[in-house]
Amino acid sequence: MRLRYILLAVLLFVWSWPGCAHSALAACRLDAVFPYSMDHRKIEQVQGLSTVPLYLDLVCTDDPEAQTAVLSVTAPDGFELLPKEGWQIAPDRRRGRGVWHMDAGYGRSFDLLYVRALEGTTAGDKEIRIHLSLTGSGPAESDRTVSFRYVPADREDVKTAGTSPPPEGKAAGRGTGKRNAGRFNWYIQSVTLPVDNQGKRDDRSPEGVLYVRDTLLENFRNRMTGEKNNGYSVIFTHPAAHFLLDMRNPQQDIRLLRVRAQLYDQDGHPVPGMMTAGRSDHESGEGWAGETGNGEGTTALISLDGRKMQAFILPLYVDPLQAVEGDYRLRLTVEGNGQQKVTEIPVTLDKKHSLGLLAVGFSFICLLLTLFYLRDTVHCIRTIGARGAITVALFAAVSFGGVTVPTTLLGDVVHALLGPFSTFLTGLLSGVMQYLLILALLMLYRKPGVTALLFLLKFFLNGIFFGRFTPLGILSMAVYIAVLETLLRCSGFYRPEKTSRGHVLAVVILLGLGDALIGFVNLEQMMFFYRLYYADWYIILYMLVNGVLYSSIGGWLGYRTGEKLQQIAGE
Amino acid sequence: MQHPCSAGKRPMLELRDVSFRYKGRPCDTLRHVSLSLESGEMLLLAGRSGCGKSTLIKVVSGLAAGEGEDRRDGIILWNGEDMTDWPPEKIGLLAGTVYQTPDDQLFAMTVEDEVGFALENQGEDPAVVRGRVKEILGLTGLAGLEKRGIHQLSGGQRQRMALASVLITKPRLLILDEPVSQMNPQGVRDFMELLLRLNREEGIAILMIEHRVNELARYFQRLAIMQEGRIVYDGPLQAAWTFLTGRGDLGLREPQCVKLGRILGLPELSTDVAKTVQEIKAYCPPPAAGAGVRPERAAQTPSPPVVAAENVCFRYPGMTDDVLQEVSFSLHRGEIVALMGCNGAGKSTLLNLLGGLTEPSAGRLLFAGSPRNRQRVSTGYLLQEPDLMLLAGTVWEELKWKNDTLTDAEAEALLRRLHLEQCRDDFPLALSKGQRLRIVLGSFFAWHPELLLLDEPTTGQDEASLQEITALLRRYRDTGGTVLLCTHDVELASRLADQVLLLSRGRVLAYGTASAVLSRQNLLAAGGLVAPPVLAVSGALKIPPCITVEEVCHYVGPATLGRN
Amino acid sequence: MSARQLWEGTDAKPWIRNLNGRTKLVFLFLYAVLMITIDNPRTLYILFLFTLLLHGLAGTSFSKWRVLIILILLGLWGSMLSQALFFARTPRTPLLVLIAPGTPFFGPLTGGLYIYREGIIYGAVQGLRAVSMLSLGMLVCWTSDPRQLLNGMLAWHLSPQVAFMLVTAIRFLPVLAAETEEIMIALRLRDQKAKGPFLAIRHLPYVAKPLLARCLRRSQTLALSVVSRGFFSDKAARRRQQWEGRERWFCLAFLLVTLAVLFSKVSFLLSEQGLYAGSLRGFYDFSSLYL
Repeated sequence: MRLRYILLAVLLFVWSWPGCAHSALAACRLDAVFPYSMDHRKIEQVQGLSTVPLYLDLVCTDDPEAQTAVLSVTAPDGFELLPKEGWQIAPDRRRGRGVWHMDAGYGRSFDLLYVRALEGTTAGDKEIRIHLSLTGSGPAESDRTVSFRYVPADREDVKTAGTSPPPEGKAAGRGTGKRNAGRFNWYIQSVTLPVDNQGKRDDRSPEGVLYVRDTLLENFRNRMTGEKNNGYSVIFTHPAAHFLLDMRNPQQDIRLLRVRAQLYDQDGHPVPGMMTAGRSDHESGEGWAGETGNGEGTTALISLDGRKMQAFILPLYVDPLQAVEGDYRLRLTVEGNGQQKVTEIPVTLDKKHSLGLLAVGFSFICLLLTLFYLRDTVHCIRTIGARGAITVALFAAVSFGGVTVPTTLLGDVVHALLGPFSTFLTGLLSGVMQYLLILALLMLYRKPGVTALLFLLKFFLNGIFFGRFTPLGILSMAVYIAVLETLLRCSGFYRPEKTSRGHVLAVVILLGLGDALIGFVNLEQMMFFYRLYYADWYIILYMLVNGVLYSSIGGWLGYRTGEKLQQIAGE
Repeated sequence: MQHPCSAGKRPMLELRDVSFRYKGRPCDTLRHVSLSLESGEMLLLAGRSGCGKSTLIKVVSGLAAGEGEDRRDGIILWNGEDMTDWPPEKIGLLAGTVYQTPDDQLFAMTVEDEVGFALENQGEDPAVVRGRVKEILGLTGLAGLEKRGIHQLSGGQRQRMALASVLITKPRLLILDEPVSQMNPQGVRDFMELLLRLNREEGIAILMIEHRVNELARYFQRLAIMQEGRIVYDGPLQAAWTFLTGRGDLGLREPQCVKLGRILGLPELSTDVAKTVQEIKAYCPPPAAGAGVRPERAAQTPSPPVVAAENVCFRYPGMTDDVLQEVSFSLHRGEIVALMGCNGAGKSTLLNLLGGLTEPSAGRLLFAGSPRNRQRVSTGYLLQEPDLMLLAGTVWEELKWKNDTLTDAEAEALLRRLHLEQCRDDFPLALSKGQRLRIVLGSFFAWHPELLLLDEPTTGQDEASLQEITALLRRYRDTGGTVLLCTHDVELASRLADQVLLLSRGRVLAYGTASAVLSRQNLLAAGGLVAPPVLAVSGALKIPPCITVEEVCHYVGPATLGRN
Repeated sequence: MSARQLWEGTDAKPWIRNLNGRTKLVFLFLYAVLMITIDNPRTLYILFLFTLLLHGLAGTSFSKWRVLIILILLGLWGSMLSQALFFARTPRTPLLVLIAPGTPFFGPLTGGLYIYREGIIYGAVQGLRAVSMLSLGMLVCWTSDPRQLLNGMLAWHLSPQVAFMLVTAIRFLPVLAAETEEIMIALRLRDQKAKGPFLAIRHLPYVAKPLLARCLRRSQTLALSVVSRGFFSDKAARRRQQWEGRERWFCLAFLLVTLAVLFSKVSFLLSEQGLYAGSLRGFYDFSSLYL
């Protein structure tokens, strides 16, 4: 143990000795590998007209001052250096110069410089020369050579290489390039969408269809579980699907390429919807809205490793907030080294309407609850007596004649003029008038089951006069009965004690909220069963105006009217 | 005074000391009521609105027993058996009830369903029910209408069907709650004849509640009168008139002959014209000299017409005939005009035209001399159902409804004039029928209209209410208002109207002073109206035709010997 | 043509008028299930045309055809308009900008409101579901007496008391309508200064009190009338209407067809979610082609 301390002390002394610092070069190490393989395979020869990276890595570990390293690379005859940011390439393209700044103490820089064989280069052993010049606390210079073997390509390949790439061919689901493969360094052979994360295509899933998850429900769940909006980062880092990018690399290039997937409409305009994972979310602290779905698309890096055929399984991220259902063209752009290959495949974005399904599920629960509430209608009728039963029947007739009939017949006319906004007009009947009748009736007969009877009769009347004996009609009635009866029971409205105004006001507002829920469920059901679209803002507006506002006003008016009518009922 | 039930004979229905109090009411609605009815007997039960008549029906029918917190005392017997606690459906098989408005007591969509309802509820075989329905419809004059929709029946047919629907269980007692109050004179006559036939041929006892004693007296032998929940008179009808002397508080509308007899001080009061004439001839001095001139109402200075109709025609869309044909008349300031005629004469159509609800198909309506002045002649139009015109939460709000011109002081004064000061903050629709009518009238008075159109305002009103309305209308006329009053009630028209416009099948049959029009038997018959009894009296006395009691008294002096 | 004539089924051909109420209700319900199951525009269109064919076979009168066509066109137009606004698929081509995204308040709220060309077409196709049911519903109404449908429901054990309430409601509908009209007239007569096109709407809040008061008074009289006629009697006879065997077989066959279509569609949708069974390939093909 003591020996270790002694050794450490000696090392520190030697390190801090001024004489050592002067010899900066002695502490800098330059690594150069050519041909360089991304996956660190050992490659010894360069073939044909391929583009292969020269890997340069400079590490300086013992200089107290920052240094400037100037690297000069000279390619052998028959080879050229490709332009690269941060490098000055001489007009003859054989020489390149890069300047790196090395930090004091410990500095490291590395880069890939692409080298391509030119047509007519003869086979044989070649050398790349690298000159390093350091200027810092003490100037120093050094030279390196990297040897490799060159094997020319087939004759036909040589003839066509280097010309500009033709436009990419179309691909349908499984995109396929139809071109003279030998003309290009690399190109997109095909695109398969969707595949699983192992790259397997499942024949059962339709081609070119991307299912987008319904985030509204997740948002609701997250809010309920207290996760708030952070949960969206999870949504954004889960790909909607994977696709298989089959690349061809006839020249056996070794290089990094950038892949970008973007949505285009049928007219060729980019549209938002795709995104890149990690642009959003908790890491940046920007919240779920973050920078997602800005239309830049999903991006990824792929690495060509010198093989002639290579397949990549890449994730596609869809921004559920911006993606709109429909048919698009998915444009895949692969670029690198000044080259760009583009292919497009048709895709369909299909949103999963979890809310609609949830609404239908809720309706079925309501149906069961309604059956429970209606199980003893005869008892309820006996409780309210013949007069009560007739009053309920007449109120149902008023409700049908005053609410259902005009909203069905005139509603269509208003609907034709105002479209969906007609509900704010017809809502005066279906909201204000309907709840006026309900509360007025309840003030006369404050008994469980009365509301259920009213809606049951209305449903039958609707069936008899408009033929609305439909599943949607049944579910809609069930939702009304279940929600309103449940709220009335839970709010203590049926308790025999006299109700105070404050209590009634609370009940009325509760019923308004209940009606908002009913409106929401019914709209979702319409969307589900009749495949209709309603914008979220419209649904919210509908719930607020038709539900909360109109129904509460109607309920309060009904309470006031019911109070007056009680005087007649007592005759 | 109680009906002397023959000793030893057990009555079919007997109420012994029955009292009843509704939940939440401070006092009893029925107070120690004792009443009996023999099998096959006909009893007219009268009394002013709110005296407890309808409650009595509910108690007898067993419908006021099951309402929990109500309180009932006394015993009700059916052929000596205590039926106090029988369920209503059991009582219903023995005692059927028919109400004032047939529309409100029929629930089914077809005649067959409605009439067969009671038997179906007894679990009778459908074939038996059908046979019985057919039989009963034949009995009530509705044979062959089994499949007819209720909406397709006339008002009279509906009332008969209501009767048939209770007759199907072969009840021994028929209870009728103001069944003829909404009918025209012809309808009343037909319905009463049917009841008499049922009573005579089937032996069904009849208990009828009605305050229009003047019209029904001749059909009944026995009258019971209720006041504040008590039976104050129960005895022979002919003896009731003496009892009623000085009892205006009972709110009964007496027959003209009885009124006349009372004013003249005849020793015996009778509804019978011949008997009244005989009494007058026997006890009253002949007409005084100089009494040959009819006492006309004060002559009015001719004023320009408020409204005039010139050859007005009206045809409903899709119809082939005109409902009104070349109708011409004029209404002047400060007069009450009675618009009369049988059903379908075009009275309501004419009111609608004047009220601005429709426009004439041909001819002109001139308002203040010009067809363009409709807006200048403010009009109040009281529809047949005044209840449907009450819109506000309190009487005060009702009077001031959409009326910025009425000051609080004026509204207070109006309330006093309508005798509604105590009801200022009450819910109008919860008040009595007479009060409801006065509120609507008041709401029109608040606008100071020049023309008031009234569509049968007195239907179903008791005598007290009728007098209040009459007083209100007279006062309105005296302040320069013009009233066009649609009514079947000849007695009211003769008492109240200055002019009578008699329509028949859309044409003006007669337009002139009330005494000129209503004293012509042939005209009244052509217009489907029943002449006032005093007209026959005056004819028999060979004095100029009279339509009011006061007119007869002008010609005939009070009895020199008799009751005073 | 009065409102009552419009709802009467006396002018329909006997073959449909005499069908049992239960047959009509079953057909109506199952047709509704089909309409919400099917997505294929061509099939939807065929089903819609079929309802019109039934009207033709039922001898729907010219005046009723006119009403039906107006209702169908209004229904379709309403659906087209709403979907033109809310169409949320691509491609979508804005024909008209109602609210530009930059409009203060409404712009950010709605994200811009456009009339989309594709939405109009989509709305027309999807609207076929609703108008098919409207057409069929009208057919059932115009060819049935309310009692026929009521008897059908009674045969399915609808409580006699509920049936009574239903009949009462039907019976008083025209009466209530007439009274409402009279109240509206009364409002015109009493609101002397009021003018303007929306007078009726302004008067609506005042209709409730007099109308409901009348209902209460009427319920009193009617209750007295029916209770004394044994309304709560447990002995009430249930009138049964014969359901012909031929009609029952038709309903059963239609039920089986509907169930098959439903099964095919559901299995197809499940296959899209990964629940795939090779043996159901035929159903998948049928669904993708026709449903």
